[in-house]
Amino acid sequence: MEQTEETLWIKRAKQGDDAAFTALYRHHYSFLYRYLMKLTLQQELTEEIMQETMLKAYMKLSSFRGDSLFSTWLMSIASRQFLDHQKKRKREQTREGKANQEAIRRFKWDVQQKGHTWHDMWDALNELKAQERAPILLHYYYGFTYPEIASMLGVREGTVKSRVHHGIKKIRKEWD
Amino acid sequence: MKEDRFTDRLKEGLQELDEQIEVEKPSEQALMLMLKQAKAKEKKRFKQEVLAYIIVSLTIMTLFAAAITHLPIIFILLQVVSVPLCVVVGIKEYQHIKGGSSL
Repeated sequence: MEQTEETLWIKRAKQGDDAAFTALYRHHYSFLYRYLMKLTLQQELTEEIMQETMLKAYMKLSSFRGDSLFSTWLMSIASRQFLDHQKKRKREQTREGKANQEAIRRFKWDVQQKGHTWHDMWDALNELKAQERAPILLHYYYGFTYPEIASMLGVREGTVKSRVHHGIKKIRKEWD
Repeated sequence: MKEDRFTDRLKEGLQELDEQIEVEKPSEQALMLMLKQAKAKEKKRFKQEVLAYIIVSLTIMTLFAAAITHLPIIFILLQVVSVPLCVVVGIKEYQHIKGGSSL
């Protein structure tokens, strides 16, 4: 999908064309799914957040001004949905904790079944706080700058820097 | 130099993780259905919230009416407490709504 074509889809979706919106969302589905899987390492949770992100994007589409790429806008919504989820889960940690670990183990098993190695680094990343994991991924893997991440997550730039710093420190500690 | 090595290692690790992720892209029909269901769920949630709002409002109004007619001092106290509370709730709600994305 070219940029001009995407702009056209967005325009149509803003006018209430649900088919245009789903086509647009489908186009970015894989990209967004991969991002969320790296954040959660859990298929079920990723799918749940994907659904929530779709609804949120649908409801907030009129606020998309086009200052960023549509994919970046979706990532921003998905990140916030993920962080909200983690906050809720934290409150219900004892009940949900076991289910989370089980879901991660399933993904680990899938990877190993295919003959691939499960890296300790993925565990280290997963052990970070959600609020540290998201900016690290956005900065080091997707190449977003600190001000961009701050805008995406709705926090101050200094907060992003501090969370990345603490998260990286923990990963380094695991590696050393 | 050490920092570069760390960054490269981190990127490589994440790239390898990305390669392990299999995506089953849903069809457009499935997404349409998903959207329809999500919209219906949201509508139901909205209705429940409105209902809860009406019930709470009526309860408060009843209490206020009782306070005005029977205990004016409690009415004044409630006014003093509720005005700043409304401001705080308003600010929180605005932040929550704004929380979508500013991009």
